[in-house]
Amino acid sequence: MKGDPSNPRAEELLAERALRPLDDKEHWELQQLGVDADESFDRAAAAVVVATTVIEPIPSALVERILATAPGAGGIDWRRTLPGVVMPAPLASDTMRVSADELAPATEIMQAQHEPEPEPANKLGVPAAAVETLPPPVIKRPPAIVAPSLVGKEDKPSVDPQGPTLPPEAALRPPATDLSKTIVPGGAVPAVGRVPTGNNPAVGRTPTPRQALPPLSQVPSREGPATPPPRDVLREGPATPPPREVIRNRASAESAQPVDPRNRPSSESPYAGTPSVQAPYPAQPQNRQSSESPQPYPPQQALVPHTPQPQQALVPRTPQPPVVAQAQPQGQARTPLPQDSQPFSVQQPLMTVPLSRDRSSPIPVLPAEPRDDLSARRDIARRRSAETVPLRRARRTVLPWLAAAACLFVAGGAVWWAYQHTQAAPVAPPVVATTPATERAALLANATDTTKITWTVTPDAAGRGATGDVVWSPSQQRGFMRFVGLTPNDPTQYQYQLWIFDKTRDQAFPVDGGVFDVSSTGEVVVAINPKLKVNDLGLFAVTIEKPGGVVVSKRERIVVTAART
Amino acid sequence: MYVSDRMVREDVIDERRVALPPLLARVAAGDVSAVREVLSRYGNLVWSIARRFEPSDAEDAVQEIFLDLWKSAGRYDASLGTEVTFIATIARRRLIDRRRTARRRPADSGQVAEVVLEEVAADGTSPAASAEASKAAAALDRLRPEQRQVLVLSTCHGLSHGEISQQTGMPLGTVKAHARRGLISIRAALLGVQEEES
Repeated sequence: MKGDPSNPRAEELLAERALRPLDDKEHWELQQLGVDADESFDRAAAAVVVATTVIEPIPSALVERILATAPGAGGIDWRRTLPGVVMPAPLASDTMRVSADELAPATEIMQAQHEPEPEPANKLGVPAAAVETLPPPVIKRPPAIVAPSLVGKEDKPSVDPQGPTLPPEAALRPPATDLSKTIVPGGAVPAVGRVPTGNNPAVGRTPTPRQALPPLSQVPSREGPATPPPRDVLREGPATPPPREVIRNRASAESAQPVDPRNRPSSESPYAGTPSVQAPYPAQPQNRQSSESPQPYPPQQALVPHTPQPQQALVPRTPQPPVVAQAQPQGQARTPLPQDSQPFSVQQPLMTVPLSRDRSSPIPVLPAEPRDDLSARRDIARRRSAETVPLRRARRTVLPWLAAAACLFVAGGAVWWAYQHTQAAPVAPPVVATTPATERAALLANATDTTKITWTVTPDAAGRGATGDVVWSPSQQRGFMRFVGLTPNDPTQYQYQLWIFDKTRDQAFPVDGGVFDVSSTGEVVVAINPKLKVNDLGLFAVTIEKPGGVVVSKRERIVVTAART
Repeated sequence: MYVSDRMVREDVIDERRVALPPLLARVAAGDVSAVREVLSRYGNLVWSIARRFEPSDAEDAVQEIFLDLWKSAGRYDASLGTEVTFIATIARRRLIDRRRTARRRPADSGQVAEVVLEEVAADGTSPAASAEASKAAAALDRLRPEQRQVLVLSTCHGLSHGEISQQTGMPLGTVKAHARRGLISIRAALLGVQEEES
């Protein structure tokens, strides 16, 4: 739809669009008028730009940059590239100027193209054939992670004397910990501080034929460990563990003599400050009876048996070599276990017994209430209510009243504050519309030292036929000019400016009385705004100056004057 | 080193006298030589307009203008106006967009109002003027001084109405009225040119 650009509203919007960006509403209105495609106003503005532009030469470097991004420059499809992005031009031909025929016969080239490329054997790009000729990799194992004493001779697989044949990644990867193999079958719990963890890659793990460990004698002792040894190994000190029999004897001896945490010296136990220990709830007699230990616990120790805790498992209690649970092959008889290693039933609830409690005193037990005896229940309830009700009633009755009183106090304070501020707020004086004419009349009526001087016109055309006067009050340093018939001025072309000649000052530099405009030929009253104090008034003069006024007038066009007699 | 201004002036003057073959259609068709001709013919004009709007960042503005021109070359309609006016329209729009984005003000806007009248008087017969520009210059001379001042400040220097009001001391409504009426007068003069030519 094409509208009429001569429509006043369309003309106005089109002109505005050529001068400034339109908002959405104006765009919509322009579309509704059907003249949004009209660009005649834009061309008019551009013609004004062309007509008033002083031509300057464009820098040649800028021309080169523009040409580089121009369409067709270097074979660039500028419509498909970002502004300012220069892409390399494609090669027109082979820059080496060597054809494929000169390099090799066509048959060889075709064969080379059809032959599949050999796949690299590994990530390093070494062919598989080259890998086969290489000697097997030598893997250096740290002595700290080797536990030769943990595996019996009957459990040891055959060890290749030529060395391990494990791939490197298998040797360096920590093995996954199989917890079922770290716990002795039968539910026996390892001794405190002897539980193998997943961080230890060798201890407590049943070796597999693929991960066969070399004999201890073949392991170089001076080589540093590739992986840090476990924490308990570092604390234990010697890297070479004692013989297997010694470890078993120590383990059995330790398990046969449990240590009571309360009797442990603080320097020995890192958990001396532990507030409570886990103790089984009443010990089940069947566990004790089925125990095979020849040394039963004393009565007090039977209540608090030594239970291994996870934190204690990390740090050993005594500086002895680690005792690690040994995996038993299937079909082999289990070694008899001491009594303290019998596991507690998982279903048994545990309770926390504070250490500070006197264990010699019996645990107080509340008498069971007779459920069927209603009268006894009523007595108990009555007795309890008789003790507690008065206090609660007092609280319940006082608190709401206190809250209500506080609310009333706050509300009253707010009302009082608002009242005080309302009373203290000054009453704004009534706004009275004042004009220079009314102010002039008030000055004439109130001031006693006012001077009224009539204007004298000059031959200048702007003041021809003008009349009026000027009123001045020396005490208030204010006054008013009144004109009738003074030529209206265009503020963009020139403005009137008042000058006040002071007899006490240099006559070459009168006091600036301000710039003013005259909008009509009728009566115009202008307030005088002197920039300096006028001590002794001599003459008022009005000149025509450029818009905004001047600091020093050339006095080329003096319109009116008013001299004090 | 600068490109010779003499060649551009002669080209533009020749365009006013002799109808040169349009270049923008060839640019739209992908003619590389036409691109070079456009640059040599109108590069100085675009550079000068950009320098007037953005004295500090004129180079980037000129590159953007020409990139816009390469893309918009296909939209040029010789029946609506000359190539000079078309290119100046694109340049002006791009410069106004840049100023609007950066919200910049003229570097020395205080002197703008003082030199405008001299510019108009001196450039009414600017070497870069085409037939439309010559008519526009003549129409500018016929405007009232305040109208001419406001129109030049608005179209050539990119000042907003508020900025012009602050610079000249005119009320905002007066500035808007002067700009609108002045532009309507220029447009009427240009349309008269086209009617005469047709």
